[in-house]
Amino acid sequence: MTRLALGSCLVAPIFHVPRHERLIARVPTSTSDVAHLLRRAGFGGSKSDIAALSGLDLAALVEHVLDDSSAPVDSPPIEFSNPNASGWDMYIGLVHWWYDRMATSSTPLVEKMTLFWHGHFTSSQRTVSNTVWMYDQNALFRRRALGNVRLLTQEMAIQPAMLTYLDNRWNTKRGAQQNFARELMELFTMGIGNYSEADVVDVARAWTGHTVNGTTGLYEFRANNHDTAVKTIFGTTKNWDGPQVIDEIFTNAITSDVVARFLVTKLWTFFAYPNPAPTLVTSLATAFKSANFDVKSLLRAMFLRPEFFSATAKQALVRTPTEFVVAVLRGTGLVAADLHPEWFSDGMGQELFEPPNVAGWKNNSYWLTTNALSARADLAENAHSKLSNLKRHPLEMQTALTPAALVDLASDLVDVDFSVGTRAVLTDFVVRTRAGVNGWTEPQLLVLALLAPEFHVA
Amino acid sequence: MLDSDIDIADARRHLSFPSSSLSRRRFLQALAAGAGAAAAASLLPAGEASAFASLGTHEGVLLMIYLAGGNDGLNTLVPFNQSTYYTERPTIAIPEASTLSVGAGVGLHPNLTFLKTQFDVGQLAIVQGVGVADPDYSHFTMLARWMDGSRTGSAMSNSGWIGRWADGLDAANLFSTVNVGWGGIPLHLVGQRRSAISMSTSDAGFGSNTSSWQKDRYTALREMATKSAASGTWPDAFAKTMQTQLTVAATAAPSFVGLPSSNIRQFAVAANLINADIGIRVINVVIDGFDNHSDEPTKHASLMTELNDGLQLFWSKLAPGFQNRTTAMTFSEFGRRVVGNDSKGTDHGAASCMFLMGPQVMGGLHGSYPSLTNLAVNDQLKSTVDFRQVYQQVVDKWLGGDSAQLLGGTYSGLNLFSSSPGDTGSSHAPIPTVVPKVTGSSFRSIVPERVLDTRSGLGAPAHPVGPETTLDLTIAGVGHVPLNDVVGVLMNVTVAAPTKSGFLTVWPTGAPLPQASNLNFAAQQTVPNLVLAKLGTGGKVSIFNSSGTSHLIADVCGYFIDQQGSRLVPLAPFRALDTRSQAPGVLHPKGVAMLKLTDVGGIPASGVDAVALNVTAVSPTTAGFFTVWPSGEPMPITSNLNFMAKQTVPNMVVSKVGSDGAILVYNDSGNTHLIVDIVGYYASTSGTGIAAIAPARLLDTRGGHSVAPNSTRDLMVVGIGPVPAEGVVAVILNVTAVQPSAAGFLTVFPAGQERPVASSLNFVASQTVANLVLAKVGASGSVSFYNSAGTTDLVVDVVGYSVG
Repeated sequence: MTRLALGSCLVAPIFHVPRHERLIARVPTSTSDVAHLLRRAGFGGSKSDIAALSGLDLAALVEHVLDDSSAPVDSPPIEFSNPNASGWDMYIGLVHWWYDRMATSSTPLVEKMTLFWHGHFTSSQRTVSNTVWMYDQNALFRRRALGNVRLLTQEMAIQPAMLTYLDNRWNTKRGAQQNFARELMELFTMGIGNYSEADVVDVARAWTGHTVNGTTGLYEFRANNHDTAVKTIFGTTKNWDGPQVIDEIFTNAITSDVVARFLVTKLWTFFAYPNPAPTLVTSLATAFKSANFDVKSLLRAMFLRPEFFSATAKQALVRTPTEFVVAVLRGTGLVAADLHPEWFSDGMGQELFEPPNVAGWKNNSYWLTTNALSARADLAENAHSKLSNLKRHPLEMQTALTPAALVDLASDLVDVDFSVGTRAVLTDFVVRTRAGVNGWTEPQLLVLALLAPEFHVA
Repeated sequence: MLDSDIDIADARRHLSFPSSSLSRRRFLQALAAGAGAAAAASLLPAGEASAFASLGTHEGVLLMIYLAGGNDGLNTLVPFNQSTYYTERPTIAIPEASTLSVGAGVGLHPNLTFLKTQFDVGQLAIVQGVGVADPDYSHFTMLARWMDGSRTGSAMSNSGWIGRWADGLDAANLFSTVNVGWGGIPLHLVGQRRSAISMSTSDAGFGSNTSSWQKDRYTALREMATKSAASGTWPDAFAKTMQTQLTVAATAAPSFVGLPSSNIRQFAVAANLINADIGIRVINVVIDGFDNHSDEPTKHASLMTELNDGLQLFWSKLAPGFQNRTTAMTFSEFGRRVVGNDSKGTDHGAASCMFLMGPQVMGGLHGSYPSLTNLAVNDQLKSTVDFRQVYQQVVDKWLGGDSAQLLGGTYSGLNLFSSSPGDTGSSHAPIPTVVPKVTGSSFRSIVPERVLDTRSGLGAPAHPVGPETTLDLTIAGVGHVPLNDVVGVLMNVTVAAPTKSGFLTVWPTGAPLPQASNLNFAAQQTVPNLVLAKLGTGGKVSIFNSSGTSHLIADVCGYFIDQQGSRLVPLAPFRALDTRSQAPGVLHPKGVAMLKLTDVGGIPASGVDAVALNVTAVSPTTAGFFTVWPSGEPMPITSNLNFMAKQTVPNMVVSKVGSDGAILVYNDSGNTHLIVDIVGYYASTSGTGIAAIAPARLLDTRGGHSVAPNSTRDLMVVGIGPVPAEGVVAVILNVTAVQPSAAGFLTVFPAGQERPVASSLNFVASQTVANLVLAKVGASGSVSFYNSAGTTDLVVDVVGYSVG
C-alpha cells in the first residue's frame, strides 16, 4: 500500500495573528458575516461581541475563532467526585455540565466540534450504562476536536464507551461480531458502497480481542481472543489487526480519498449547508488530505471560502435542539441546573449522550415536526417561569417601556434581529395584553421571543 | 414540495434506531427524517374546523408497527422442523416444546400468546420468508428500501410508499397519516405533496390549553406563520409547523386522557386517535430494540412480549365501530443471520416474517419458510416473498389505490385479505382475552440466601436506589436457584434507611410496571416484606422505588418451578406460638426460639418441606430483627423481620423445616415477644401448584370506602382479574393498610368460616404498612378481611394463586 506524500498546501496559508494586531482593522468584516461565523463556529455572539469583532479582517477573524489556546481545563462534573451521587445524578450532572460549558466556554468552536464528534462517533449512555466512560469519550472528542482525525479514530475505537456501544468488546475469534467493523466503514469513515461484505467479515476478525477489562474498566487486548489467521481487507491479505485497518483507511490511496470526501461533506453540511457542490468537496478534500486530516486546517479553509458566507449558507440551517438550549441559556443567563433542558430534550429530539442511533442526528426538517416544536415551546415556558421564580425576569416590571421599546429589549436579550412581521406580531401582543384583562401576562413576551421563527435558525 | 436536503446519504443515515434501551420511556426515536411537517403545514386550511374529517365506513385503517433494528424472524416464527436451526444456534434456539405451533413445522415465539389466539380464530396472517432482493444488511439502506417501497438497486427517492399513497387523499385532512412517538416522521409516511403529523406518546402537547391568556399566546404564534413569512425558508417552515402543532394539540387532546403508564402506551394512543374519528387512515408506532447482537434470548423475549401485549392493548382499546375496518401490520428492515454469534446474539440478516392482524385478513400461513440449508450469498436466508408483494395487497385490497404506480412495478401472488374494510359479513369474532395457564408450579424451599444488598454491592451496584428508579435483579441461576424452568421467587425484601416515605413494586422484568405495591415505608424506617414475584425476561424481577433513596436487601427463601417439587396446602390461620402466654416466654437478645411445626394443627407429621407463617414481633424494647431458618442448618446471614422499639410488626415468612420438622427464630437485639401464626405448608405428596403472576390490584378502598373498626369485609378473589375462575384454592395477596386512624390489626381468613385468633397485619395510627398474605379461599370464592380497630383504607394486590 502507498502512503501518500504530503502534497503542496492548497489551503490558505497557516498563519497566526499576534493578539495585539487583531484589533487593527484592515478590511472590516460585516456584522452580518461576524454574527454568522459566531453562530456556526460556536453558539452565537452578543451584539457587543459582534461589534467588537467586526473590526477584524476575515483572516484574522477566522484565526480568532480557531484559536483554542484559552480552552478551559477539562475537569469532570463535580457530581463525579461526590461519593453519594447516584448514577442518575452523575448522568444529569454530566448533561448540565456540558450545556453550561457550551454556553460559556471561551473556545466555543472546540465545544461545537466536540458536539460534531459526539454525533459522528456515537455512543449512548443508555447502551453503555457507564457515565464515566461517556465523560471520558467526551473528553477525548474535546482533546482531539480540532486535531488529526486518524488519531482520534484510533483512540475512539479502543475507548470503553465505543467498545461497549458497538459490541466490539464481545468480538472474539470464536464468534466474530460485525457491529463495529461495519459501522467503522459505513458510518465513521467511508460510507456504504466503498467496501465489500467480505471486508466487513474480515475487519470484524481483525478487531477480535480488543476488549474492556471488566475489573479495571480499561481497554485491554486479549491475545487469546484475537484471530491471528490471515484476513483479506481492501484486497490485501495478511494478518491484520484492528488498528492497522484504521491506519489503512486513512492512508491507502483509494480509501483515504473516500474518507476525505466523506468527512468534508459531513463537516460542510454541519457548518455551512447540505449538499455541497462536488467541486467544492473535491477542493476541500484535497486540502484535508494534504493537511494530514488536520481538522483545524480544514475548518480554516472552510471558513475562508466565499460559499461559507453566501446567502445560501446564511439561510441553510435550523438550530438543533442543543443549539436552541444553549441560545436560551445565553439569552436568559440561566444555568442548566435551573433550566433543566433534560426535561425537554427527548421531546425536542436531541438528548446529549443519547444519540438516537449509531448514525447520530440529522438536520433541518428533521427537527421541525409538530411534536418537537411542542417541546421547544415547553422549554421556553420553563425558562420564563424559572426567571420569574428567581425574580430575575428581564421583562417583568417594565410597564414604563413602550411596546416597541419592550420588543427591542427582548430582541437584545435573545440576540436576534426580528423580521418586520415578527416585530409587528410581538408589538401587537404587548399592546393587546396591556389593553385587556390579561395584562399580567405581558412578560410572556419572552416566551414568544424564544419561539419567534428567527430564533430557531442557525 | 419537500426540502431537498433529504438526499440519499441523509436518509440512510437516519433510518435506524438504538439497539437497546434501559428506559422504555421513549419508543420512537429518530425516525427517518421527514421533510414533511413543513409540507403538511403548508396545506393547513385557514379554519380549524376543516382540518379533519370523519372516515367513510368502508375506508380501511392501517396500524403499522415498525420493529426497529431488524427482527429475528427465526426466533419469532421458529422453524422447529429444520434441524439446522438447532445446530446453528445452540445458545439461542427456542425448543419446539416452548413454541406455539401454527402448523407446517413452525411455531410462534412462546410470548406471542395473543397472536396465537388470533391465529386460531383466523385473524392473523403470517407471511413467511419476506425480504428484499439483493440485501446489503445495512440498517439504513435496507430500511430505506422498506420505507420507500419502490426502489430497486441503489436508486433512491425522497418519499415513502404510504406518503405517496396519501398524496392522493383529500389534502384538507391533516390527520390522514399519523406517527406516534418522537418528533421525527418516518420516511414511509413522507409523500411528494404532503406528509404525516407527529404525536408524542404522552400528551397532545403545546396548544391544548383553553384559558384566554393561553389563547392570546397561541394567536400571536399563529400570526407569525403569516406575518413572519418571507424571512426565509426555515423560519417560515418553523412558524408553519408551530401553527400545525397548535391545531393538532387542540384536536387530539381528548385522546390522551387516561392512558396506561406502560411501555406499550403508544398502542393505546393509536387506538384512541383512531377512535376520535378524525380521519386517520394510517398510523405508525414503533417497538425499538431489535438489533440483538448480544444477549438475544432475554432482549428478544421482552420485545416479543411488548409486541404481543401492545397488539392486545390496541384491539382492546379500539372502538367496536373501527374494529372491522382496521388491520395491523408489522415490518422490520431485515431478519438476522441463521448462525448465532459468540455473544448469544445474531448479526444482520435477510429474510424474516411479517404479521397482519384483523378481522378481514386471510388468517393462516402465507409464502413458504426459507430453507436453512439452501442459503443465498453470505450464508443468508433466501427470501421467498418480495416485501412489495405484501404492500400490493395492502394497497389494492385494504387502503385502496394503484399499487403498480406506488410501488413502481406490478406485484402479485399473495392473498392476504378475505374481505374489504367495513364488511359486516365477515366472521368478526370478538377479541378473546388470553387466559393464563391454570397449572400451578411446584415450590422448592431453600435455606434463606441473600441475593441483593445495595449496601455491599451484592446483586446490584453498591449505592442506594434513587427515586423513580427501577432495579433489575437476576434470580434464575443465582445461588441455589436453578437457571432453567424457574417461574417465580419468594423472597424477603427489606428497605433500609429510606430518605423519604414511599413504596416498592416488584414485578416480572419486561412486563409493564403494574399499578401495585409490595412494601410501604416511611422515612428512616427499615421495613421488610415477603414478596412473591413472577420472573420476567432473563429470569429477572424488577424492583421499582417510588421516592427517596434507600438501600434494598433481598433474601430468597424459595422458588417456584415447572418441575417436580412441593405443592401448597393452604390452611385457615391458626396460632402456633404466642410467647406472651407460652414458653419460652420473652425472647432475649441473641436468643433463639425453636418451634416444631410438623404434626401441629393441620400440618401432617411427615412429607412437609416448608411452612408458611405470619411472624409478629410484639413490643420489642429496642430496634432489631428476626432471622428464621430450618433447624439443623447454620444460621444464614439474612433477616425476615425488622422492628423498631415498641413497634408491633408482622411479616410473612416461608421457611423450610429441618429434618426434625422444626424451625428456629433468632432475635438479634432487645427483648421481644414472638407470635407465630400458621397459614399453610408445602408438601411433596399433596397440595396444589402455585402460579406466580404479575401483580394486579383487586381492591382499593381509598375514595370513601374505608373499612370501619371491628368490622369484616369480604372480597371475591377468584375469576377476578388474572385469577382464574376454576380450581383456585388460595390466593397470595399483598395487603396494605393505608393511613389507619388508630392502632390495630387485620385478620385475613376464608370467607364463611369463623374468624380465627390470628393476625395478618399490624398497624399503628397513620402508618401505611403492607404484608404478604396467603389466604385460603372460602365461600363464594372470597376471603374475609377483619379490621380490629380504627378506620383504615385497604389496598389489595394479588401476586399469585394456588390452583389444583
